[in-house]
Order: sequence, then C-alpha cells, then structure tokens
Amino acid sequence: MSSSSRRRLVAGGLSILLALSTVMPAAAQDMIRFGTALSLTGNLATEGKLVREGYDFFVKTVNERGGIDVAGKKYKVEIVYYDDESNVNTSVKLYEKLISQDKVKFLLGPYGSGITIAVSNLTEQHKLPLVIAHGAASTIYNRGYKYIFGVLNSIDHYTYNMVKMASEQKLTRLALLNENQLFAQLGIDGAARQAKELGVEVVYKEKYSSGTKDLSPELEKMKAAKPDMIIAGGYTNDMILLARQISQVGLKPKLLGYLLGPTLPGFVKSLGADAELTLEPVQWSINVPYKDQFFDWTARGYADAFQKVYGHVPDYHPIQSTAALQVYYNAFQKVGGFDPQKVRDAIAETDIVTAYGPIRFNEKGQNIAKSMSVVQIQDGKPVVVYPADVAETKLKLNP
Amino acid sequence: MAALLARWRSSPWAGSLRTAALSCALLAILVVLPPFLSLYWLRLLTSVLMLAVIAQGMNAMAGFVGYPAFGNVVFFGMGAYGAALAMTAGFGVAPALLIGAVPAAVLALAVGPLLLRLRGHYFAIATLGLNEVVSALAANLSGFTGGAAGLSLPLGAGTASDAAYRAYSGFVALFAASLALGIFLRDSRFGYGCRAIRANEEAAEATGVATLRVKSIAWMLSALLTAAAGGLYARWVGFIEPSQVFDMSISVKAFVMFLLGGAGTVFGPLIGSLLIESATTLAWSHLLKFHLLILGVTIMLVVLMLPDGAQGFVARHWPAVRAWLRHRS
Repeated sequence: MSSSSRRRLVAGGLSILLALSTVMPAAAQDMIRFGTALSLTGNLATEGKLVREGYDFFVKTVNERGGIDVAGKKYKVEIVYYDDESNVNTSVKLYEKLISQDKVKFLLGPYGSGITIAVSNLTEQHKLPLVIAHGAASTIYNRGYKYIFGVLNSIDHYTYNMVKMASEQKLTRLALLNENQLFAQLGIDGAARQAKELGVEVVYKEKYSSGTKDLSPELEKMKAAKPDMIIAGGYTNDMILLARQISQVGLKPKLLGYLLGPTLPGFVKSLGADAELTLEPVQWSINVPYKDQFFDWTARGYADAFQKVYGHVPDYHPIQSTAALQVYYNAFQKVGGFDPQKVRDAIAETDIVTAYGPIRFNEKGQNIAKSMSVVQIQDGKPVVVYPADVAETKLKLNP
Repeated sequence: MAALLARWRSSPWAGSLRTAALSCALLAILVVLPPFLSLYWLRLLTSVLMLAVIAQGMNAMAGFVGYPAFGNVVFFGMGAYGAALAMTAGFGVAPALLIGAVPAAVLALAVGPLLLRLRGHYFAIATLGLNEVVSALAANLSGFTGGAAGLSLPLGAGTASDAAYRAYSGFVALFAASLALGIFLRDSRFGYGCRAIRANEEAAEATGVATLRVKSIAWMLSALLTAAAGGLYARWVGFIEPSQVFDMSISVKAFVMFLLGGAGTVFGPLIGSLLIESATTLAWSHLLKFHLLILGVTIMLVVLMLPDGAQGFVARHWPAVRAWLRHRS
C-alpha cells in the first residue's frame, strides 16, 4: 500500500469516527436506567423479541408523556440491553457488566428460569432488586432471597385451571409429556399433583430430551395408554413438532393442552388445522377485566396501542415485561427517589392493579394476587374459555 | 565455567525452569491484579482462566498425545455435579472438588483402555458418546441430581466482591496446576512418551513406550483438571443444569483455544483463551448470529495456516524478527 493511500484511509476512518461521535446523543441528565440481558439470538430468540417489545413499549409510552414523575421532577427512562445467547455463564457475566460497569441499579430479569436462578445469585449478593417478568420456576422463589420479585404466576400453578376444567368435563385419563428441562418439568409435575388432587388419573407420564427431532416413539406409547386429555410442555419449536406428530400417529384426545405454544405468533400459522382446539394456560389475555391504575388503558386498550407500534397483537409476554417496569414505576413514586434499598422495600409493599392484572408479593417475592386463564384456539383465533369470569366463549371438545 | 553453563543450557531441565519462572511471574501478576479491576473485568478474567484450564485439559490429550478428546466436557459436567452435590451436603470446597474430580478421573481410567484403542475421528466420536451417556444420566437421575430442574447451591457468605475474589483465587490456583501439568507433559519422560505416540504410535510401541498406559494416564490427568474446573464453576455460578455443564460448545471452544494458542505447548491454552474471550467480548457481541460460523472458520484457518498456533508462529518467526530489529538499530 502506498503511503498516500494509507494516509487517505486513516483520514477516511477518522472522519467516520467524527461523524459517529456527533450523531451520538449527549448523555441526558435526568435519566433512570434499567438493565437486562435477554435471549435475542439462539433458540429462545422468538420469546426474547416479545419480551423486549414489552419493555420498549413502556419506555416509549413513559417518555412520550415526558418521563416518570418522581418527587416533582420528570425523569426519562432508558433500558440497557445485552444478548445472553441463552447461555447461563454469558448471562451472569452481562449482569455483572450492567452492575459494576454500567452502574445500573434497577435490574429486570432475564428470560428463562435456569438463567434467572443463576443471575439472582449475583443480584442478591449485590443487594440490588431484580424484578422478574419471565422466570416462572417455583425454585427461583424458594431460596429465601430478599431482592427478587416476580410479577407472574409460578409454573407450579400453570396447569391448575386446565386440569380443573378437565375434571369438570368428566375427563378422567390424563397423559403428560415434557421436555427434560426445568420449566417444562416443573409445569408437568404440577399438573400431575393437581390431577391427583382433583381425582383425574394420570395414565402416561414421560419426558423427552431437549433437541429431539422425533417424538413419535413417545406418542405411540402414549396412544396405547388411551388418554382423553394430553398436556405437554416444552418451548415453542418442540411443541410445533409435537402437534404435527400427534395428528400423524392418530392420537385424538378430547382436549390437548400445552404449557406454552398456541398463543405464540407462528404456532397457528405453521400448524393450521393441527392447532385447532388446542389449549394453553396464559398469564394474561386481552379479555381480563383489569383497568390500569397508571395508564389510561384496559387490557384491550393496551393491546390496541401495542399493535399500532409493533404491528401484531401482544400475547402475555410483552405486557408482563411492561408490568415489571410498572412495579418499579410505583416504587419510585412511593419512595420519591432512587435509593436501591428503599426501592426494594417499596417493591415488597407493592399493591397495584395493572392491565396485566393485580400485583402483590408474598414474602418469597411471588405475585399472589392473580391466577392463570385458559385459552383455546377456535377457528384459528385464541379465545379465553376459562375461568368463567373472564371467558369469552365456551370450551369446545374434540369429537 | 562457560562449559558448565553450556551444559546446563542444553539440559532439558533448563527449559522447565525457564518456563516455571515465567509461570511464576505470570501468577504473580494474576495475584496482584484484582484491586485494579472492576468486578466485571475480574469476572471476565476468571472466565479466561477457567477456559484456559479446560483448554489445557483438552491440550493434554489432543495436543500432547494427539487424541482429539472432543467429549472432554463430560468431565467438566461430572466435576460440577460431584462438587455441587458435595457442597449441598455440607462439605467444604476442597473436599467437594475432590469428590467431583475423583469419579471423573476414575471414569477416564476405566473407559480409557477401551476408547483409547480407537484413533482419530473414531476416538473423538466415542468421547462424544460418553458425554451423551453421562449427561443423560445426570438429567434423568432426578432424585439424585435434581434432573432437568438443575441444582442450586447455597449462596456463600459475604458481598458480591467476596464471592468474586473467592472464585478468582480458586481459578488462579487451578490455573497454576494446569501450567504445572503443561510443563510435566512437555519435559518429563512421560511427556516424551506422549509425544512419541502423537508422532507415530507403532514406532513408540516398538521402542518400548507402554502406549495404552501412557494414553490412559494422560487422559486421567486431563479429566482431573477439567473436573476440578467444573467444580469451581458450580460454586462460582451457584446453579447448574445438565444442558449447561455438559454443553458441547464448551469442548468446541476449548479445542479452538488450544489450537489457536499452540497445540502441545504450556501457554498455548491461555493465549488461545485470551484471544477468543477478548474477541467474544469486544467484537462478537455484534456478530452473534455468526458465532458458530466464526468458530468453525477459525478452526479451519488455524489448522491450515497456523498448525503450531500463535505461540509456535511467534517462535518460528522470532529469529527473523530479531534479525530485522538488529538490522534497524
């Protein structure tokens, strides 16, 4: 390379740097920063995107209204995001970065229960609050930690209403199948416990290993047990595979429920008829009758406003994210400041109603103020069928 | 006097001493460094050391003996589970690490004489199978290991920085052990046996190296080191699950690292781990979707262009660089 062309290259590089530095916004004075690491790539990227939209939606809404009002002063809101690649070690590393490098004091949980457990070890040692929007494992909350708060129902409560519904429909033979992984295991174990409690017989219970590409051996065995209801648990891609293979092996249960799947975008689209009449317990649906005490919207109002921004109807993921930030929002206003210890104490005293549902924590940090609804896919659309006070329409059984 | 010095220089132990001195200097730096680092950088450095240890375990087998033990992560997982179970049962850290590491070493010694009759890809694939088996056991013995729900360790006493220093000092000690293993494998009679096997196994056998025994012992040492790293990892993160500690990508990373740093060298694994972890931290956070692609391409490039890794590359070109410097001055 000649020296003149090298000089030109250096000059070009410098001018690009200069241009970039003028575009970068000056750091705002009155800004509250939250931090989180999410699965933005990797096999949980679908869920990660929805989670992020919910956080961003809160930020957008609050900032458009001038910011959060704390002790008579307006503060804009910002979230520092990192991508944890769905990897525990990476996630903990990134939370350490948020805390000791970026000096973020208000943390939002990651996506996934295993990762949340590891991350909460770190935040607990730092004595900083961690508001969890997407870690449902009961094991997260059973360790006596003082700084964790989950706005959602824990997994062991997921299937309660679904099993209850089955017993009311006089279904007596339940088959259970789950991915051998924390979330699915706790959820399906919960269903087995509830079945016993409600007098439903469990005729089949198995797990399959993560990353399986074929579930037909399990399904053939399940078929031989003649279940009239199936509940399966795993992440979305597995559930799509499972739904296909259930119809391929000729299983025809009266009811077919998933811990997670039917309401996620893509499930109905990629399965078509195989998605019809499937059930999912949901943390939230558009029809829940709650009116938000902070923003002038109901559940439906939230969904409409959200759809205008992101172009799709939100499932429970985004609003759960939004609710987690509302817990902080409420605590800041109660404290009138940003001292992490005081904010933590105020969060423990949370008693609010959001469009997501009521939020009140027990001493373990679990939200004990709300329960799960059951959604069914009817004519390709998710509708709430249980419990009666939020149901849009009647439950349909497979013929 | 001069003759004595020359004889000393040419003895194999001079090299060992030099490397040991360099190792001590490196360790001294690692010991005084923490107060200058934020907890984030300390965690990154801890991570680098952990990966360097795992890569040294891989290097012991793949670099020195020439057996690509791709499934070595199995020992990491066993060490993590063994130590975690012991710590939950109330054992201290040192005995817990032993409880994690000894079964791993025993497993290597037990299956070594079988698997080490396979060569090249066949051996690599067999070790992968071993990892699958043990990982499935850990996932399915739910009563014992917690199964897929994972195992949560009690939080250690003290603040976040206490915990960070505890983890760091543990890995510094283990890293020291990994350097000692490297020196041993490079300079001892046993190490010559290993390298003879790598160069030509039949010839080694013919000249009297008990090949199967040497290979098995080398794998056992590799297992001990890797399992101890797993045990420290479990205590550090405080939560383990099968998918996380039997994760093949740990092995892949370790493989890239020791190749990149220099196969069959003492410091190669550290150099590789430093290079890869810096690259991950600084650049890859923007290129995440291509993560595995980049790792794969790196393996191919290193094998094709840097067969003796970064350390070998520098060593090879050092005379030329020195001549050039002298010429300039």
